[in-house]
Formats: sequence, structure tokens, C-alpha cells
Amino acid sequence: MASPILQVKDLRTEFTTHDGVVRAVDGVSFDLYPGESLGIVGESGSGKSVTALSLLRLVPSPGRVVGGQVLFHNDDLLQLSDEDMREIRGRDIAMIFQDPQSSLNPVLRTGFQIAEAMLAHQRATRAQSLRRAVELLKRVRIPAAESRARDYPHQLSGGMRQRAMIAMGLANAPAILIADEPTTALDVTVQAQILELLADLNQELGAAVVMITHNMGVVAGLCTRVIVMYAGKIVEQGPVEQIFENPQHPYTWSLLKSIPRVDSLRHERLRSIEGIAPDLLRPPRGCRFHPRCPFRVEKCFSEEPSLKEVKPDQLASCWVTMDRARAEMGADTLLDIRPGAASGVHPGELVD
Amino acid sequence: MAEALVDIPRPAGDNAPTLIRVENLVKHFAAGIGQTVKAVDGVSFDIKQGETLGLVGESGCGKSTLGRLVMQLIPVSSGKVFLDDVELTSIRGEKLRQKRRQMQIIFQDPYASLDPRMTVGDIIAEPLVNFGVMRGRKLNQRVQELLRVVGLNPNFNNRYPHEFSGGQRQRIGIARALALNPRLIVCDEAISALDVSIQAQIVNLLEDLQREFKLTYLFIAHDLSVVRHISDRVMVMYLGKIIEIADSVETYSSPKHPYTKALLSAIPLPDPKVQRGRRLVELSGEIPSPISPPSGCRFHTRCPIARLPTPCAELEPALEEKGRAHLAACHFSQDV
Repeated sequence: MASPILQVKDLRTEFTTHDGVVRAVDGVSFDLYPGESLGIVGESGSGKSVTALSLLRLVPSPGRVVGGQVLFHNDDLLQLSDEDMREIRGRDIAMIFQDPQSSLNPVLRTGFQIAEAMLAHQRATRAQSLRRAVELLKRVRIPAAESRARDYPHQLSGGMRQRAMIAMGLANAPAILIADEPTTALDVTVQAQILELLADLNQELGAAVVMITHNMGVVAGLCTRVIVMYAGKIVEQGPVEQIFENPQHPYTWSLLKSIPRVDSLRHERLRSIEGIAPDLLRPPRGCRFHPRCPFRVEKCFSEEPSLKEVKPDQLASCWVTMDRARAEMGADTLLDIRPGAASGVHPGELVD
Repeated sequence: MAEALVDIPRPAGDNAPTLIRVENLVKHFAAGIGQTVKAVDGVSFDIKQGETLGLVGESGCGKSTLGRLVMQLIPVSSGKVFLDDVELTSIRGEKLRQKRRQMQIIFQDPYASLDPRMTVGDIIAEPLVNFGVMRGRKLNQRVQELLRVVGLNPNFNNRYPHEFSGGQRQRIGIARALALNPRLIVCDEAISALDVSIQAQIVNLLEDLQREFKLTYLFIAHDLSVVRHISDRVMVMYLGKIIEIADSVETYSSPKHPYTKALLSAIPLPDPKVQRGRRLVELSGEIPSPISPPSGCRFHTRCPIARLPTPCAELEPALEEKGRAHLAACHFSQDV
């Protein structure tokens, strides 16, 4: 495999609140390879979006990155001057957000906003940039691009605004495009169009895509590798097909079991994950998933598992792993998914 | 809790009596001078007792408006809604209020639909107090029982909504809806704001409650996979019209309307092998404005199989039987 274009090492981001310190991202490490499409999935509060914002040093106050490295071309982005970082943002690494409505300036014409992204980084003239903005709008398949470039954002539909955002992200042909829930606010038929566009652009332009999402289906369709986050930490990562076929962390496993599938022809009861995600002000000791895990053993209550290779290319942080849960605890035929149900380990009180 | 992973028998048989009947329902909203939004534009269907009828569609299709019309939370422009054989659209005042007891609604946003200054106990007790059903110790017992039924600690009744997570708040909303022993519950995007793992908890809870209390659901959501999972029949709306109603398995295995097919194909499946091999039915463009819906079949501007201009842009297709208990509104449903 080629060498990584971005290396994240032990990233830590904290939010200081009245009630204490929230470790939103707590020691996250991963590599991103050129041209690949990496999914980061997790539920609200898992730290997936804060991870993305931390890479670009865009974490809003009172949050701040307190540790780790983000290596891009031998530079640690966390150590760059503000000025150098501004050069990287939008030129080498671009980001698109969930809500294009609030990310676009309502009083500037769409085409100009895209041109502005180029004017900020290149020595192109205003006219050249505007011409290229129209090309970019065509590239993201906006019909009648010339006239749309003269429209204000409110004149565009939700799907078109997200396309315009993507065009803006692509303006300087970045090596990395980070997309934070880019389709969550869109209707499903429009979502499908945007996902197809992102997949095409990933192929055509060779930019690496980091897809932040809560939707396992989006990862399945678009990504080649996936990182699963829970309570500020990576709990599993590896090739998409492998992880969907044979997840090793009980959280990944139960997440996949809890999604109703539109193609299922039988009515099966969903296997929901009991309990709620932990309060990051007071994360549980040991493994952070143990209060909800049907397969927990005593060690899980006190000792935190580290992320280690459990299969070729597949990392998971679990003392038990699903292979053992299947072999010894009958995970495949498990009907009761309450915490500790499969392992029979129920010490302590559950905090609900 | 421990539930067998087998087909759960559906509570509603084919012979179950009709609970809700909707006839030619229309709701137009004024939108500026001389313009109307045709939010619901001539809709007829029924819901059987004990059944879950799913209602899906994209934003602006009129599904939430339809839910509110069924409950008579907003007045209809024309058309009729029956509960049993009583025409709700022709009664008002105290008579309507008494009928409304039998119908409750659960909203999407558990943050916005609970009064932050009321305790959870008061929130759940409110419908019982409003209708003068019970008070004092009996009321407290009922509230605690309702909390237990939805899987919350009965001693939480003195806490406030902000002390609960999103999923727990939705349970509170469900407890409030159950308070008056309703027969119909309209779930309006009731799980859309929740995380995936919490969604599954609430879906399972709704299924358990339905069996226990013989509830009938109108389950409104934009997520077709959840709707299909929970529903006996699925109804698809597009621009104020019902374009298909079918058994939930048939909806997936043999859709008779190109829009339903497109919706299904657009849902990304959490299965990389299947998902990569799937072909997205490319629907060009987005939903047109309900202020000036397209002529003829409202879907013709985005339809991959439309024959233009005749008949699709000129003749509005009727919602007709295309199979056993399977209705669709398409001139070319055999080509879907």
C-alpha cells in the first residue's frame, strides 16, 4: 500500500464546561491513504464530527485540541502557524458540512463564493476564477450552471446547495475532502444523487474522501475502509466488507443488528442496544461500552482494552471480541441482548 | 425483552373492522396572494383496528399534514374523516373532544414537545386531568404505571424533561399518549431524531405496546426502511397525493409505482456487497412545488418511464387496484 497522506496520532480534543472536562476525542489514531474513501461512523456524541473538525483546527470554543499529531506531508497541522493552516484549509484539505444553508453566505452569488475559494489561495484573476466556478458547477452536475452561478443560495434547492458546497470544496483540487454528514438533511432520493456524485468525484479526481456519518448504509455504498467510534474512542476499524461481514466489536455488531433493512422479507424483532451512550463527563471505567454490552466479562469493568489487530487489517478494542462471543456465548442465536445477558456477568449497578 | 426472532404474528387480520376511514380529504393552505399550497389534495384510505399503516414520502409531500387532519388538529378544506362510523369532520365542541380521547399523537422532537417547566409526572398526568378521568392517589398510581409500561423508572415522576436523554424523552411522550387508553396513535416522525441504537429500542417498545393494548398506529416517517419494518401496510405520498398502498412486503418485492421503486432503490443498504451491486434508479431533479404541481401525473417531471406528453402529462392516473389489496396510481404500473 502507498504511504498515508494523512496520519492522525493519539488525537485528543477536550471541551471545558461548567460541569467539568468532556474528552470528546480521546486518543484517536488512524491513517488516510491517497484516493481512498474512509468512513467514520458513530452516534451522536461519539466524537466523529469533533475528530473531523480537529484535523482542520476548526473546533469551536470552548473545545480545544490538547494532544496528538495530525501529520500531512511531514507537517504536523496542529503545530502550524494560523497563517500556514489557513493555506492548507480549502487548498489541500477541504470540508463540506451537513447544512449547506448555513454554510453559504446568503448575500453573495453562488458562483462568486466558489470563485472566492480560489482567489483566497491562487493567483488567478477574478474573471478566471468565476469561469472556473461555472466549470465546477457543471462538474457537480448542476444544470444551467452559467445562470445558477449568478443565483443566490436561497434560489437553489437543498440538493443544489449541497452540490454548490461540494463544488466549493473542490475548487482548489484538494488532496483530501472531509464530508461531515453531507446528506443527513436531504431527502433520500437527493441523498442518493449526492452520494453518487461523491463516489464519482472520488474516482475521477483521486481525492481522498473522509465521510463522517451515522448511516451504515452510506458507508456500505461509498467507503472502502471504516472507523467505528463510541464515546470518544475508536472501537473498531478496517476494510468495509470485512467489518460488515464479520464485526469483532460488540458495539459494531449490535449497531448492524439494530438497523431495519428495507430488503428483509421477514419481520424480525430489532436487536436494540439497551441503555444510552455514556455521559462523557463521567465515562465508565474500563471499556466504555461495558454498561451496554451483552458479552462483557469482569475485566471489562476495570481495564480499558486497547485497539489491536484482531484479523488482518482489522482492529478492535475488546477483551472478548465477537469470534469468542460466537464460539462461547452463542452470539448468533442470542435473543436477549441486555447488558451481560450472554456472558452472565452482572456486577455493579447499571447507570441509566 | 427476550423475543424470539421469528415472524411476529400481525395483530390485524384481513377481517379486522375499520377504525379510521378517510374520504377524499383535501387541505389547502393560503400562501401569499392568490396562491395555495395543495398540501393534501384528494386522499382516501382506511386503517383497520390493530393495524399499523405506514405513511412515507419526502419533505413537503403532505404526510404530516395528513396525520394532523386525521386527528382533526387542523380543519380540513374538504373531505371526510370517520372514526368508527362517526364523521369527525361534521362534529365539533365537546362531542369532538370526547372522540379525540381515542386518538393521540407522538411528535418527532422529544425536546420541543415536552414542557420544560412541568415534571414528567405532571406531563403524563395532564391528559387524565384534562378529561377529569382520575385524581389524587389513583392518578399518581396511573402515572407510575405508565412510566413502567414505557420502560422508565416509576420514581422518575418528579424529574424534569431536561434530565432525560432523547430516547427517554420519547418514552415520556409515548407514556403521555397512552394515558387515556387511546385506540389510535399517530406517530409523526416519532423516531427520526433518535440515534440508530435508540430507534431500535423505541420501535420495539411501540410493537410491544401495540400487542399489549391493541393499538392502531398511523406511522409517519421519511425513512422507508423503518416504516416498512413496523407497518402492516405502507402508503406512499407524493405532492399531496397517495401514489401507492400495499402490504409492506409487497411494497418492497413488487412496487407498482416508479416513485416507490425509486425511493426503495435510493435507500443505502447496510451491506457493502449488495449495496455496490445495486443500481440507483436515477431520479432527476427534486420535488416540484406543491403550489403549482405538475399537470397530469404529478410525478411525470421526474419519472423514468413517463410517456410524454400523452398520457402522463395530461391525464391524472387514478389510485386503482393493481393486485390483491395493492393500489397504485400509475398509467404504466405494469412497466415498473
